[in-house]
Amino acid sequence: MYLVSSYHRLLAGIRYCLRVAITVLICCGLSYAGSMRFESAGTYVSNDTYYLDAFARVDLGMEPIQALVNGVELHFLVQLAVYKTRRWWIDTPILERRLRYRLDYYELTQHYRVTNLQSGKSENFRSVAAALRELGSLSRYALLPANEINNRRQYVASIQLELDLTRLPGPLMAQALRSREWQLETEEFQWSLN
Amino acid sequence: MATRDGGVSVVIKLIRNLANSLALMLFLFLFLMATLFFVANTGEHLDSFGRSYQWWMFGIVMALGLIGILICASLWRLVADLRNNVSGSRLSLKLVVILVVMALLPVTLVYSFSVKFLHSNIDSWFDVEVESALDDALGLSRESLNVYMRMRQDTTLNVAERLAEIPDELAILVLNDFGADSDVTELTLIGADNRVIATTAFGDDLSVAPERPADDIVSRARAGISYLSIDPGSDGDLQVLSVVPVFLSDPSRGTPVLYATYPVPRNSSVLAANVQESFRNYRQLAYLRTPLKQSSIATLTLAVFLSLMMAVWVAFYTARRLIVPVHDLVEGTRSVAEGDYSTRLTTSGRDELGYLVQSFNDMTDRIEAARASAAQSQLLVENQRAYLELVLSRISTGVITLDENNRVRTCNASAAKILRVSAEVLQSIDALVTDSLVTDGDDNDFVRQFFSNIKPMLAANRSDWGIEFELVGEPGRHPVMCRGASMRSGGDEHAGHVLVFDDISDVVEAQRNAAWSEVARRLAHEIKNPLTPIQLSAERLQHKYASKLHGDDATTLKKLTNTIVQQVESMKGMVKAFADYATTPGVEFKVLQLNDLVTEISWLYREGNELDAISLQLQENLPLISCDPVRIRQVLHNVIKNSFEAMAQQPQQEMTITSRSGAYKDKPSVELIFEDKGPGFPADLRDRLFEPYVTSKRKGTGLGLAIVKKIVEEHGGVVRAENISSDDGGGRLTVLIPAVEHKTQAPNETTVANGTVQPATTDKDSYGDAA
Repeated sequence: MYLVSSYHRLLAGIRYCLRVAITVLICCGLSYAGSMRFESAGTYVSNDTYYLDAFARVDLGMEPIQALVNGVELHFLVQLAVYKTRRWWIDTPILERRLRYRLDYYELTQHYRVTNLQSGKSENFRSVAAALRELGSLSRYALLPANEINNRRQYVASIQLELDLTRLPGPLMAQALRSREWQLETEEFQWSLN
Repeated sequence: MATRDGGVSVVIKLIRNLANSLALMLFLFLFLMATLFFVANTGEHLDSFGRSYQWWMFGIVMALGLIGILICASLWRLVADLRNNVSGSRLSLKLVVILVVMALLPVTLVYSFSVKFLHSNIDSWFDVEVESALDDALGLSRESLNVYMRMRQDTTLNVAERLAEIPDELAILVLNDFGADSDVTELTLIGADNRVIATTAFGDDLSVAPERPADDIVSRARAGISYLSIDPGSDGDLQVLSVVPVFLSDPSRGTPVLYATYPVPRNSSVLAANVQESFRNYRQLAYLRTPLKQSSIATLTLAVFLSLMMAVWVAFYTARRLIVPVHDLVEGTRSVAEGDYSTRLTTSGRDELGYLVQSFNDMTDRIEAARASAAQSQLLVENQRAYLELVLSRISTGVITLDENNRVRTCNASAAKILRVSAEVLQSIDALVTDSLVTDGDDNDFVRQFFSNIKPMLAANRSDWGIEFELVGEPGRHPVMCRGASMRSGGDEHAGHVLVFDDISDVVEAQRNAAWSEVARRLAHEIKNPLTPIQLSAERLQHKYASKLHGDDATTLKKLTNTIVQQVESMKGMVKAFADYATTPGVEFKVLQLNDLVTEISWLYREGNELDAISLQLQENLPLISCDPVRIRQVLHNVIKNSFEAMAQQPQQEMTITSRSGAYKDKPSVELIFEDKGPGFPADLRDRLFEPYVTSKRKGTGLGLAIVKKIVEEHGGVVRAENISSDDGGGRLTVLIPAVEHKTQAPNETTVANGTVQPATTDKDSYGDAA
């Protein structure tokens, strides 16, 4: 008898907890914040060149999507770096590169447009998800010539993607710099080069 | 701890200096103005301006914080000043409050209206009609593009139909053929194995590699779903993208896909792009309406806050600048009020305050000069008065001034001395009501007598008068010579009297002594001359007729002549004594022990009735005295003889001679006291005991004590006579002779100088002191 009642009580407790959790999730969902994270990144050598393949899952969240749809251009910044690790001293960067991308919404044709600001080429997407997938993926990017790498030493490469708030229109930037929903950046993804 | 305090004080000092620094404030102000201008501009234009935005904001906050700290420091200082009642702080507070209120009112007004206008202004940018017009324009553009797109789709489908019958090898010909007479940019045929079977490009830019459509589009097209879209190109121009399946007549070869791109005509493209751009801008603006308002209001608020802070700071600064001369003036006035006339203020500027400060300096200059001259003249007067006082205090003449109410105003030391009263008592006396002083005791007896005597003169109020009278008291009679004059003030009003008087006892006594000496000398001379012939005649008479006469006659003759001879002898002695009194032989002073002389003389009287009658009580180590031993012996002889003669009728003859060290006129002296059991001194003779010819004895010249007094006074000493008790009699005679200072251990009978040491003249006024 006692066991049965305690079992019911346990169930009731679990149910209560679930209800609370759902409520919290719904509340969070109303002001749903985005996130960015690298799923994978890696280098390989081909034709005496180190190539980079990376894929980041980019989820902008409510606020930036809203801004995008309303004609605000979003700028993204990819920061690439290769370090030579040193045991007794600070690691030396042998490569530091910034890649800039622009995402905007073309109302007339209802396209999401991703522009590589390095090459000036742009791609159009029907959905924002596709645009973000393209934005988050970097394939066969020539990183550096293989002869710059000394195989007897250790090298670490890192990649980071962030939403560049400083390129936002003034009034929005003032707001974005203070808002948590706009603070979008991946953690630094690191892997060993060789 | 000390260093921490030092550090804190340095920081406080720095903050205070910064708060007073006009340059810093100007710099901060300009910086903030520039920042605000920048922020406001960028906020308005919706341009992005990079990461510096955060730093600008940080700079603004820091600058505002710094100004806030400086203002707080100023405020804190003002409050501290107010608490400590620093002069000028209240005025400062008033100025600050007024200036701040003056700034606050218009700023608040402008601010509230600006916020209102800002809201309505930004809202006025957005219009429902404009919005729908833009929407319509966009819709229209989209529609026209759609029409064009559909037309291109039809074209592509036509090509696809033509390709259906043609083998892959000839496809390129069809494509080229078709491309030549249409405006297609690019045509690509992708085979079933996803390989490009044929591709051709037309248009200006042939260098660009043919683009492939996305794989998903191709696979969907292969499944029969064509794709048609109009895409913005990389260069901003629009192009129509059409992907259609090519259903071959031979289905075993699979389904290739034809991919074609067409440029949108330039005009349409530009117009559409313009519509798109305008629409985009409008949407963006509408979306950013709230942040725009917020940032505009924030900028405005910042600007207002900045102006307010600047106003407060300027208020403090101005107040401080304005208050400095006022504060100086207040402090200067305070120190002048406290008597410091050396205060000079630094002149500040050419305004009215500067003029006030200059006037203050002039005023203190004049006051100080006047004060210095007053002090100098006062010093002069003081010096003269001190000099006069010194002169008056040194002269032996008594000087008393009376004011117009006949009260004593000033008196000199001699006046107090002559009247035997302290200067304080004398200065509290009213000359006309001295009767009341009688009750105060004998001490004021002289004063009472003095003022009683001059009262009639004062009452008569004569301008110049003189009077001579005697003050009678315990030490004797003192003849006083007093001259008086009434003083007149500037307005010829009665301003009191000045009394100048002298105790002329010494003069009178000297006159009397001189007279006596003259009488004695003449008497001796006149009497001595006939005495010798008388004696010789009497002896000759006896010698010549004694032998001739017999019996009783001879006896009678002898008796008579003997009587004559004896009387003449005695008369000779008397005349000699007179001559001795009158003439002063040269004295020879020696330093010796008085006890030795006393012992020596007393030995001479150890016979007959006088045996053991003299008892000596001599103090050992008696100070030495400088004296003429011959004359002192005479003094001792005279006194002892006088005592025994006085005690001749007494059954018991006893005499005590006591010697001890005493003080006379505050100087060490030797006191010699003779006491006998005789009848004492008759009361009626006491005043004149030491005058010649005053005696209570039947026989005697009355010169004994007179000579004693004369000799003692020649040694600078004093002699007093009194009765031991009024009932049993018994006389006491005290002789005081000054001792030789610092020579108590000197050997006896040492000659100091032969008759050259002249003792000071006796000062009768010292009776009181010595008694």
